Formats: sequence, C-alpha cells, structure tokens
Amino acid sequence: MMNALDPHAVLDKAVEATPAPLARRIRGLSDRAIAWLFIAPTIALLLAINIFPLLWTIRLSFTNFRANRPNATVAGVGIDNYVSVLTDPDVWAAMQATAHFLFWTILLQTMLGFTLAYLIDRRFRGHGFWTTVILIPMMLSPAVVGNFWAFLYQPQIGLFNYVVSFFSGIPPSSFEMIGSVKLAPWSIIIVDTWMWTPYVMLICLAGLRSIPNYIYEAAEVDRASRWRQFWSITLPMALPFIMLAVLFRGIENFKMFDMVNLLTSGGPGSTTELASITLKREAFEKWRTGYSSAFAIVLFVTVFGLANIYVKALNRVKNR
Amino acid sequence: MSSDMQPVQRHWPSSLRRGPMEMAATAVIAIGVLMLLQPFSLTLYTWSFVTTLAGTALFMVVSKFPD
Amino acid sequence: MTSHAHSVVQPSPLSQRIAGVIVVLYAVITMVPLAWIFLTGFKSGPDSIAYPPKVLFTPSAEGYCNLFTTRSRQSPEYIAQLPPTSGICDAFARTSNMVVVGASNFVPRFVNSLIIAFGSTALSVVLGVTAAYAFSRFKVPAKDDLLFFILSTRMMPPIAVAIPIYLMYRDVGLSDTRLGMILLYTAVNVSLAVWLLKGFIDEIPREYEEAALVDGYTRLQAFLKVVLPQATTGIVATAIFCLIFAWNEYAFAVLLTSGEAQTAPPFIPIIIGEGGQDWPAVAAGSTLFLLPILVFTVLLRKHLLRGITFGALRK
Repeated sequence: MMNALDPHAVLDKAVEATPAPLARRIRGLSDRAIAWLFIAPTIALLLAINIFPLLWTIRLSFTNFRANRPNATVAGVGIDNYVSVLTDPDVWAAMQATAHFLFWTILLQTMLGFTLAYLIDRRFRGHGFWTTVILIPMMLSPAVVGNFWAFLYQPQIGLFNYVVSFFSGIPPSSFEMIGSVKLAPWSIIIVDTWMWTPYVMLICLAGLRSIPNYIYEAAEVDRASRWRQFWSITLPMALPFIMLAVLFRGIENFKMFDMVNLLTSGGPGSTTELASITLKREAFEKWRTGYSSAFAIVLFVTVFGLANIYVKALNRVKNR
Repeated sequence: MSSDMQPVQRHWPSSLRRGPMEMAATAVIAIGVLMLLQPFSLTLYTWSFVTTLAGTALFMVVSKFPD
Repeated sequence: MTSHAHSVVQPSPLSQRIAGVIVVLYAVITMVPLAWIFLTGFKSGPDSIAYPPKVLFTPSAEGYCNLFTTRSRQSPEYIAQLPPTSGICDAFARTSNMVVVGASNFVPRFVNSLIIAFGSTALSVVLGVTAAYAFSRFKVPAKDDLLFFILSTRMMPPIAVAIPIYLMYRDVGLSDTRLGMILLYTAVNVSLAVWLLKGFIDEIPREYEEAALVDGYTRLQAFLKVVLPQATTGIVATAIFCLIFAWNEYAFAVLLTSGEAQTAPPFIPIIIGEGGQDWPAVAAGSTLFLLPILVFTVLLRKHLLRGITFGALRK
C-alpha cells in the first residue's frame, strides 16, 4: 500500500501516461479548478450511492411498489404508508424494544466506561497496555461476535450459563438467555455493553485528560477534598465528552442490526425485534417496499436530527 | 459559514441569534425522539415523526443565522 | 492535552494499585469470550458441547478441517475400499464415516472479504485525501454544509439505504458483484476518510507548499511531492480504519450478496454441520477472521480516538 502511494512514482507515472497537451493544461490548473477536481469525485460518488437512493426511497414511500413484483402497476398512495407505519402497534412495539435497548446500553456503558476511564487516569503501571486490551472488543465484527455469543448463551453447555451458575448456584439448564421472553432483551444488552463500553471509556478518558492540571492545583490550594474536586471539577468538565459518547452510542444503537440479527434475530416472538430488524423483515421478507420505504424515512429523519445535535456537540468539544 | 453573513448581523434581531435558536431546535428534535420511543401513548408516537422532521428542518435553517 | 503527570495531584500509590487491579480484572473478563472462541476452534465436536465446559482438552484439527472442506457421509464398506488417505483432514473425516468431497466456500468468501476491503479502502483513501486537501486549503463555497453532508451520509441506517441500493443494483447489474460492494463501502468510508484526513492535512503547515510553489512547483506537484509525504501517517491510520469497517460490515453484505461476492461475515454464521451449527468450525472461521483486526487494533491504538470521533478528538 505504501508503494502505491509513493508520490514520486505516482507523479512520474501520471506524467508519462498523460498526453502532452493535456499535461500542459493540468500543470497550469488554477487552484479553483483543482479544488473542484479534487472534491467532485467524492461528491459524485456520494450523490450516486447515497443521495440518489435516498430520493428514490422518498419517492417509493408514497407508492405501493413491491420489489418482488416489478411488473405490477405502481400506484401513488399519498401519505398512507407513513400513516400506517406511525399508527401500527407492532412498529410502536419495535420502537419500545429499541428504547429499552437504548436506555440500558447507554446507562451501563456510560457508568462502566466512565469508571474505567477514571481508574485508568490514575496512571498505574502498565495502564497503556491494559487500555489497548480493553479496546479490542469494539474493533471486532459485530456479526461474527454476535453469532459466537449465541454459542456462549447456549443453555446447559454454554460458558455464560456455566459461569452464572458457578457464582449463583442456579442450575445452568434452568434459564435460557436467548430463548426466554424475559431474558432475551438482556442478552443483547450484555453483548452490546461488552462490545461498546470501551468506546465510551476512550471518549471519557480524552475528557479527563483535557482537564488542565492547574485547576486541580488551585483546588488543592483551596483545600477542597478529593470528593469535592470530583463533583465540582472532574465531572462537570468531562460532561461534554460524556454527552458526545452518549449521543454517538444512541445513534449507533438506534440503527442496531448486525449483532442482534445474528444473536436473537428479533426473537423469541418479537421481544428483541429492534426497529432495523422490523424494517428488514418488512423490506426483504414481506417485500412491502413502499411501506418499508416510509419506515426507512422515519428512521432516517430521526438519525439525521440526532446527527445534527451530534455535530454540534462535537464542535463544542473540539473548540475546548 | 456565517462569515459571509456578517453584513446582515447589524440588523439581525437578537432573539434570532444562532445559539439560542439551535438550542430550541435541539429541544424539538429531542422531544420528537422521546415521543417516538415512549411506551405510553400511541398518539404521541404517531406525531413523533412530524415533530422530529420540524425540529431538524428548523435546525438546518437556524444554523445559517449569524452568531 | 497535558502529557506530564499530575504534579500536585499525583494519585497515591495505594489508589493507583486499586485502580490497576480493577482495570486488569475488567480487561481479563472482557477477553474471556474471545479466548473461548480461540479455544473452541481447536476442540472436537463432543468437547465443544461438553458439560461442564472444558478448559483443558486434547487439541483437535476437526474445526479447521471442517471449515476448509465439505464432506459427505458414506457407508463403512465404501470407505474401506478407498485408497489410503491423502491428508490429515481426509483421515479425520473417515474416522466418522465421512469422505472429503471438496473445498468449502470459506476461502472464496475470505478472498472476497480481502478484495472488497482493500479495494474500497484504496478508493476511499484516494478520494478522501484529494477532497480533504481541497477542503483544507481552498475556499470552497458552502464548505461546512458540504462537510456535514459528507458526515451525515455515514450516519444513515444501513437497512434504510439498502432498499433503494438493492433496486438500483438489480437494475444496473451490480447486485452480488465485488465492484458493487466496493463502490458501496467506498461511499460509506469516504466520509470518514475526508473528515480524518482533513484533520491531518490541517496540521501540515502551509508554508511547506508555499515554499514549493515559489520554487516553481505547480499546485498539483506541491500536493503530490510535499503534502502527501507529510500526511503519510494520517493516510495509513485512515486506511486501516476504512479497512476495518469494510472488513467487519455485515448488513449490506447479507442483503446485497448471496454467492459470487459474499464476504466472510454473512458466511461464517451459516457454517453448519450435521444437526445444527458446527461450533468448532464456526470458532475456527471466527478466529481467522478476527485475528487481523486484533493486530490492527494494537497498531492503531494511538489513532483510535481520532478515528472513532471523526478526527475531532486527538489525545
């Protein structure tokens, strides 16, 4: 990869391959022309693969089109699709499942992540190495990991059940993490927390390290207790960073698909059927393309609204 | 992005500054998202989308206002 | 931003020790599921589903053999009249009245993952570095709006985007092709690449290029010969982030590919043996698939924060 990017080789090749008149013209390009030449391909790709499909989805969301019947006549249905998505108790239930998932994952990850960051900021020996170890789960493929957790969750033979029964004495075959209506929502929360606590930890750590030393020094001079320092300096100053992490995890988990699809695929019943999984069923199993397009737009607008807030929070933290 | 709006700034009403208006739009989006996810009322759920959409549109408009 | 240790507020040795113990404990617990994947890959079928779960066991090549081969059940008489076994996996299969009939799809799927991940990474980095340079150095109209637009494309829910992409790819013949997946992953990754690389290029002093321009370089030469070499670290870090995303991606892959261009993440979960999932084979596949990312994470550790916050936070 480094060779391919070697600027001299690239330039020489480009010069060789360019016909002389064209080469003269390129060398004389104005800054303005280069700016457009450099930005246009990216914008073109995004228009073709993101914006055009988005506009198409908006158009489809007002029709009764079905992707598995491309030859059937397509009729406009006005806002009917939106009305049915937004009045469907099943979709509402999926949103509540998503809300449950969001609430607990964000709560657990923030608490665990902040605690870990606070402890790592004590700078004990070897903290760099152990921080790297902790970060590993969030870099892995959620699909492959979700699939493997299904094995850990097996009743009787699974490692998770064994460990729980080892510490609590409950027989390992007496509960099923992904088979029971009560426990399944918690099974996905546990895996998500395992995967993404490191993310929150990393952002919180950046927040803690951004607090200038002299503030603590001033507090020491004023003889403020460590406890007081934590509540009046550490926490308030790390708060924008915590908010950033919460928003990002919120957006990501609102869209959650891969890990849950492989771990529980929405079951049992529809207890872990998050919004994206319901959408996938409507779009790619029931082939209600028009209806699911409206559903997709509802999800998209929500994410887009949150993304606006996220970027605002990002800029605020960046300008610190 | 607001730099090319400097001349307007003089005549811009102070209640329509970017900061507070963005806060208001953020609040509308947040309310919309809460309405979408709450388990209490189907009516609130039904109107969540319009609320979020309005909040997002508002946000995009007011982010063009001068600081 | 302060790299030197807290001077007055240096934590006491006792609090450091307690913090260290808790963090190490958390790190070890967090590694248990991964260690279990690794161990299960070397277990025999019965060992993998034994109760209580076995930590000590005789290593077996069954998982890796099953991962790389397809087998069919034959009668003992048929197996008895076969010529001597040609390899360890063949010998292995025969002990349970099976015959290796060919290679499995794992290698082609893994190769697809490699081609698609590297292809889309190369494309994203090229597009990203040029766009980032333009955003960093030139007055671009509506710059902030364009940058937000680029970022927001990354935030779209994949399933929502997948519906029209599915229809579009079906119409233009890109469904289940590597090219289609490369373009799609590039579109997703380019936003990260632009944001990250803009941060790196912003840090390169403009004076270098200006000196080059005075020396008679054209803008393009200055970019290629002065800016690119300075941005090498940033380009490598960005490339690895793009690579990891494309490598791990599942939602688009499972909806838009089924054979030809299928990558490893949708394939590994459907490795089945007789009577359900073949866990040692799944574990073996997962191990081989996750291992490169483990290495990259260690290499990337200094840039992780920058990458996951779109370049907003450094250290």
